[in-house]
Amino acid sequence: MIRWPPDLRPLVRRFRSARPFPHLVIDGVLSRDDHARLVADFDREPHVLVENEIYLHLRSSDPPMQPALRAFHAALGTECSTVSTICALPLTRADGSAYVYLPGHYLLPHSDSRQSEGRAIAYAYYVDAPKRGGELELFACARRGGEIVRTRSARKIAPRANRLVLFAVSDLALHQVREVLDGARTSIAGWFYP
Amino acid sequence: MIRAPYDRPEVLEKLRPAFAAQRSLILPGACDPKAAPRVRWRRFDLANRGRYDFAELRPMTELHRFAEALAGARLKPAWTRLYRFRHGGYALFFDDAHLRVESGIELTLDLSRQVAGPPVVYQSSPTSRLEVPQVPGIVAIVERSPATYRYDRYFPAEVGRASVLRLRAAFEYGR
Repeated sequence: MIRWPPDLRPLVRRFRSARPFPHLVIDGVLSRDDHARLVADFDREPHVLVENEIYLHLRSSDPPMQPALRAFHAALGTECSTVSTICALPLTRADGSAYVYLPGHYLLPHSDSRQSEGRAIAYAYYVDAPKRGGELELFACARRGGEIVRTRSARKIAPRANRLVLFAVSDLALHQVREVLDGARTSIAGWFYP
Repeated sequence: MIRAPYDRPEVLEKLRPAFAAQRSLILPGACDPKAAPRVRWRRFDLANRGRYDFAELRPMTELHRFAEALAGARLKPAWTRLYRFRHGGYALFFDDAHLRVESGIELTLDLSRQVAGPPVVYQSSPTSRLEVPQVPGIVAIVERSPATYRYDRYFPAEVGRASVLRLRAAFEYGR
């Protein structure tokens, strides 16, 4: 289902050298038909509004319920060895949920690092793009005495349809989903684990 | 800054049992937004903590008396700050963790000129939370404990050009 380039070496280099922390953006990872099935099933997927100090958005169950979304989720699980090669980390499984960000929805700056959960690589696959906003923003951090004392926006990644983003999880991998200003941002996102 | 009748000790004394039972009180119309002090703002922007303007203020006797009368306890002023939030502003638990008192009282006075923004949320467990709506003139009195954290919810684009002013005064139990 997921279409990787035959030669992974350029992806390995891009991932490793990306700043402010290792990440990779790959466009057109699904065929047109697979992407269309995902778009159609996304509308039928139940989502609930969830909110806490850092986020406000709609989220599905993990894994999602609709067949095309489940197929994508399963495909990620079977692609662990490819993602392992790209990210130079041993990965064995992936989880994920479907998300909808409507105007005013956001995910504020945070790190995905949770020692107890073992998240190694985060991913986001954009099913459809909003008209404005919803970029994935990566921050560069300066640390003193173990604490982050300065942060700077270092890269904004547009949530284009059929785009996959991978990034390494660490305490310093601060990122956010900027507020959606117009339209709906739909995605499937989660983590790969050792 | 505190409006009548909440500036009278006998009124606050009558409210004391309610505060003692709930460990918090929200009093609409208890402060005067026109009394917001003029300050020189400092910008705070650290992605993992928050984005806002603030000004450190001297302790205010009026607020100290108000807090002591409601709490029915001796309190020691810890800090007083005026915060300004605009579109894109927020303050997370982690920001609160740097300044909060772990055993005391926190006052929040909404000195904004308009209803524009999201609430302040105090949370001590996934099911125990207090939302203080953003309404000019509202005063929230919240007992702080080691398990209680606060966040100022993100200010989305719908707030437009409005700014929200929150004066916060923290007091510790005992002298």
